[in-house]
Amino acid sequence: MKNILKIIIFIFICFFVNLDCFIPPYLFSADINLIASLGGDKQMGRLNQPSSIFFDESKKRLYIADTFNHRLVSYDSDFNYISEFNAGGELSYPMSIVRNSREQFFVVGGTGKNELFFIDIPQKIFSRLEIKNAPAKENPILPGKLAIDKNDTLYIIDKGNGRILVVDSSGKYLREIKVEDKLVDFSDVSVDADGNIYSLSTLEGKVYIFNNKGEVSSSFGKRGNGGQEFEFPVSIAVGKNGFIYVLDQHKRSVLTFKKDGAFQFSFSKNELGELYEPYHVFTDMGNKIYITDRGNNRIQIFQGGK
Amino acid sequence: MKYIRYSFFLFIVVLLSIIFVEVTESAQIYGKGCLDCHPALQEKISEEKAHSPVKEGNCISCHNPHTSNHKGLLKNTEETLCYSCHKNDRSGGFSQAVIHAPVKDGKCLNCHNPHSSTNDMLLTQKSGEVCFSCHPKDTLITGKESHPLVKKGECVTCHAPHSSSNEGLMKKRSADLCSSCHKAREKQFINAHSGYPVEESNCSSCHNPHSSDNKSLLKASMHQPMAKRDCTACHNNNDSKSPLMLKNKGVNLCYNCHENIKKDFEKINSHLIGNKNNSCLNCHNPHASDTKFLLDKREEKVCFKCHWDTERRVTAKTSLFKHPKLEDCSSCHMAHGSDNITFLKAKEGESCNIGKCHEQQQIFSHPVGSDIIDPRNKKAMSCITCHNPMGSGFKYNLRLNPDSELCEQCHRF
Repeated sequence: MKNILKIIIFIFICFFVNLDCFIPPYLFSADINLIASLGGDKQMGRLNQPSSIFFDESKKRLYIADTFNHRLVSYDSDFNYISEFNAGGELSYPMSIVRNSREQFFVVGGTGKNELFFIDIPQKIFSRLEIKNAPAKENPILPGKLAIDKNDTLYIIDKGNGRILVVDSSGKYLREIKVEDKLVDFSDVSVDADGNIYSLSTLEGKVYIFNNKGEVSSSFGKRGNGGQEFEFPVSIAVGKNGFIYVLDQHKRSVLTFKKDGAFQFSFSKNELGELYEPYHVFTDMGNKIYITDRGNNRIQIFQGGK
Repeated sequence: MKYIRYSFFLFIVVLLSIIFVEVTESAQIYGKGCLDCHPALQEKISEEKAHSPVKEGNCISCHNPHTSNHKGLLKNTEETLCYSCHKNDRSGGFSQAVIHAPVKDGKCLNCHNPHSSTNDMLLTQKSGEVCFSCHPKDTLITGKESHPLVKKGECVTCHAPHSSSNEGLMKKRSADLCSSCHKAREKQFINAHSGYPVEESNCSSCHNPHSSDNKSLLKASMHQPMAKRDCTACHNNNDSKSPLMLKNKGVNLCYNCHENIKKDFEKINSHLIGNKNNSCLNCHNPHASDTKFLLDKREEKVCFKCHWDTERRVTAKTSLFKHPKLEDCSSCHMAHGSDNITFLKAKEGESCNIGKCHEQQQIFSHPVGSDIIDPRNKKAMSCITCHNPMGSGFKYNLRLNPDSELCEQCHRF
């Protein structure tokens, strides 16, 4: 009887003193807190199906591809609206956005939603960026989500051919990253500080980690209805803390893993309700986690743990 | 005190001996004991095709003579009991890529009689009849023509009843299976296929292996070039080095004729995906089909091939109230691409009235539209704010219980 009492007291202390190390990680939703929800205001109007987010560490600016308003919107690091850009009305349906160290933007969009644009605002350049010399595949190149590394190398999801195209800032083809011999539909890409590339196959429900040479170094995950499995994962981000965040559109939650595939925790519902048709997850160096809650026309921003 | 201890020890030894003798004897006489009250089983035991424990009178290998939590006083679930002896089957021949649903669910008695049978393999009925009990003959023989093996109910000539590495539980690859009867080298066969070497191709790409209204069991609707026997619309000439090679790569081959479809894919949400072959073939059969739009399978099967988590949700037991014709996905969703959330044909607020399905509800219902804002997410309210057309546990497909929590989401008292 005494022993049982001791065990109960121990569990009680663990929960209330927060001794994480004694308790399996999946019992906790870690210390993830919603810190902001951006949906627009009277000054800028409401966001309309925002698709993508990029946080520029050097400028401390947040950029949002506000798809159905045909504009890019910028916020400061306190999430105050700064300005918007639509290339004089020429930009339509921006769906993915990144910015390089020379403050030039790369945006996927256009009326066909299949074009890659190069934008240099100070130089007043808005042009279509052609991917030069990429090996021809079965289907035409269909650019999807984008990522950029510290060397300004651009990673482009080619939805049409289920691969990742790696190009420089001028669009010159450098290499392709792919998985052969099975149906893989890469839906997002993220790059860490060491140049490792993280991608996600939605239909397989699998995270692929490639080394900086583009070789598969590991993979994990499967589709299923278990708490640690994916239903319909659509976006991936890797945090400064080494956590891999996978956004599951149908589960309406973010599942967090370590690089070895060990599940840590998931988070979703908060005081502002559920995510609805979320599309993109992004993390910054301050471990903030940004989610485009596309169906709710807003961006949800969470502060992640250390 | 010592005397009491010895007496107790002796008592235990005697008790255990009695129990041991009774258990041994009872195991031997159970069969006979059971048959005293179950005389009908006597005949079964004497049948040649009886399950070996039945023959041995070993009823207690499956039944508990006293009490049980399972029907028929079974000692355990059907699945656990059968596989306790047939474990090699489970880990071997029954565990290939495609598993027959009853095998997967451990429902062995759907097909087999656990005691005895006049049929081979302890089947409850003759081979084909067993199959037809779940796959009715009239759903297989739907046309004027039918395959002779289907007519005869010889399903296991082509299908493996437990599991297989081939789709449709086929015993071999389609080409290998069909060529065991249909000689691909014969002139008549070659002529019928316009001189193309199709012996390695998937026969069921064009033929319905069970039944059809068309000659040679060709599927109901054919791709136009094929119907005109114009194979060169897509393939090289039959006398070329690689006659089956396609004239163009990937979706561009289809766009040659279906250029208007290209725009359908140029949407925010596009089904142009994957790293293999032509994306169109993810859903369509380029030769012939028994379903609309040359789909590879029935519409919901095509969709659920990738969206199986949606299938799980809509078929869940908790999903008591479902939208009618839920299997007709394209009633509400665009198959190729859409700029609307979840590939909807129209914007959320207008989606329920496409085809004027819910015209009345637009007139008298809770106010919806751009002026009525959901306080939770600041979005304009629409039908799907409160209803979940994909299924719910509450009447009218409501998302939450209307008597307790639904209205209170916004109208807090």
